[in-house]
Amino acid sequence: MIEDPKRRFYGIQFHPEVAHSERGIDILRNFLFRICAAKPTWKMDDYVATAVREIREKVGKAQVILGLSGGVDSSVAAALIQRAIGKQLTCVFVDNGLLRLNERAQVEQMFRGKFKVDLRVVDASETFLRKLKGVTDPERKRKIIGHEFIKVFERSIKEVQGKKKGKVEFLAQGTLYPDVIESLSPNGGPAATIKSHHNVGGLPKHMKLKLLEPLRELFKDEVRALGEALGLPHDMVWRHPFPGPGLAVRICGDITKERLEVLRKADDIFISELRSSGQYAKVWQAFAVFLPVRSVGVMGDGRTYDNVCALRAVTSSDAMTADWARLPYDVLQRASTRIINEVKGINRVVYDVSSKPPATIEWE
Amino acid sequence: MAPQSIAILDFGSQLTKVIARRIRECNVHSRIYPFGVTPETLRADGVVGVILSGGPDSVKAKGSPHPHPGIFEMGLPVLGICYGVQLMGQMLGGNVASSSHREYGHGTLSFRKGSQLLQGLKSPLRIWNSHGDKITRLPRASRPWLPRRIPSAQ
Repeated sequence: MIEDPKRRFYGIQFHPEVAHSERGIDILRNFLFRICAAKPTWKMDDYVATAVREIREKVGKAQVILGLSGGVDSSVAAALIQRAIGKQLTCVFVDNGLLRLNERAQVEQMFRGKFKVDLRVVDASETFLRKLKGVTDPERKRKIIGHEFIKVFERSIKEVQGKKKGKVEFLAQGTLYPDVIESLSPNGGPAATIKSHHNVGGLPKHMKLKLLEPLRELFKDEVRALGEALGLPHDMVWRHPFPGPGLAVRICGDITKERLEVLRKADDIFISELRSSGQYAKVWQAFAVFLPVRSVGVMGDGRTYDNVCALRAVTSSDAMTADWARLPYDVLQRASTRIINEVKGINRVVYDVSSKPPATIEWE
Repeated sequence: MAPQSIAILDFGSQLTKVIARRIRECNVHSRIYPFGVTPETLRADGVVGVILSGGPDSVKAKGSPHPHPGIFEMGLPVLGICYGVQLMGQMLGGNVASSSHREYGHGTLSFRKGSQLLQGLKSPLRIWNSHGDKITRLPRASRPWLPRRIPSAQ
């Protein structure tokens, strides 16, 4: 380390910002408060004001389009950009038929009702399900869904282009700095090799849209704090991650309307049991999986021959590694009893006790 | 009026955004700028201090990113981290060479009292290194705050 107190030049050869540099934060604090005489007055609410100003400057009179998924990141981005430029923002929500119970209605209610967002809901569920018919390979499912999404989204951009006054120049995304950086291993080698995440990508280059990514400097927990500062409901801001291909990767094998119905109900019961028992906030992610495995059961006086529902709940700090959550037995018991009683088509519930690695969080 | 802000010039380190986050955690506004940002922009933005981030390049490599030299003439405190300090070594009249001894991972830093940056900290300090170059001649008027170097404890 070097120091020139007269000219106020300071240099260190190590990284004070990483958790495994002992008291690194104190070095930064010395720089901020003793050397730069900065005042500790900044808050997340101030981030809103700064971001709003910057979005306005960047966008000008142009139109902005954002693909709203209902997840935390795109929702916070939508609320923030809406605050900055109001009706210059158009959000597109694609109903791919692979959403959770009441998901579309919740998104419509919140963004149209509370945030007065110009929201266009495209019901493409029939198309998605038709394209997915008979497809069992997980990778093919993902590819088809990604491809179809881009087609639908591109069409929506053209429609907005025709209806709105200004030109659509920006594609807004809720991309954020990957949380994976936090898990940087002390023995993992140079930082330059850490892989980065890509959020959407895949939109054709000929659309010539500029990217607007107001969350890109933030980490997940900061995005949540920002969401709360913007007035998004607590449950929305603390929602578990949900995969882009939706329930398609939670139904092993063929995807049919009937299976989706069954899975939606089972998943909703599991999640509501986790919420009412206070377990929801303690796990990273939890969901139900539909297994097209039929087994024998006895219900009342009759014999059943129905499908299996697997419940999955994991703890994790970054999704790179995960452990199965040690949920209390009585929570599992209530979820199991309710699913078997209330969801026609399921007569057996199992709990997934695999960690990642070697298993993954999702089943497909 | 723009708030008091710390400018972080980004030389490509994956950790640049972590610095920004640590500063936010201290309730101070910070913003990441492309490395070539002009002193005028920083002045207009109410910047009270500049941090030069790390980066994957060697300052000796052809075409490696360098800041506007005016950054050092603004009278603002400048903190260089890894690649950043090597830039300072090179641009302020010192010399930087590739080191045969690359340092990645944990190391130990011993220092004597009197440093502003390390005020309130106790020597030795366990630190996290990630660099391959070192400064071989210091810029004028700057002094090393390191009487002896203890090799990485790996």
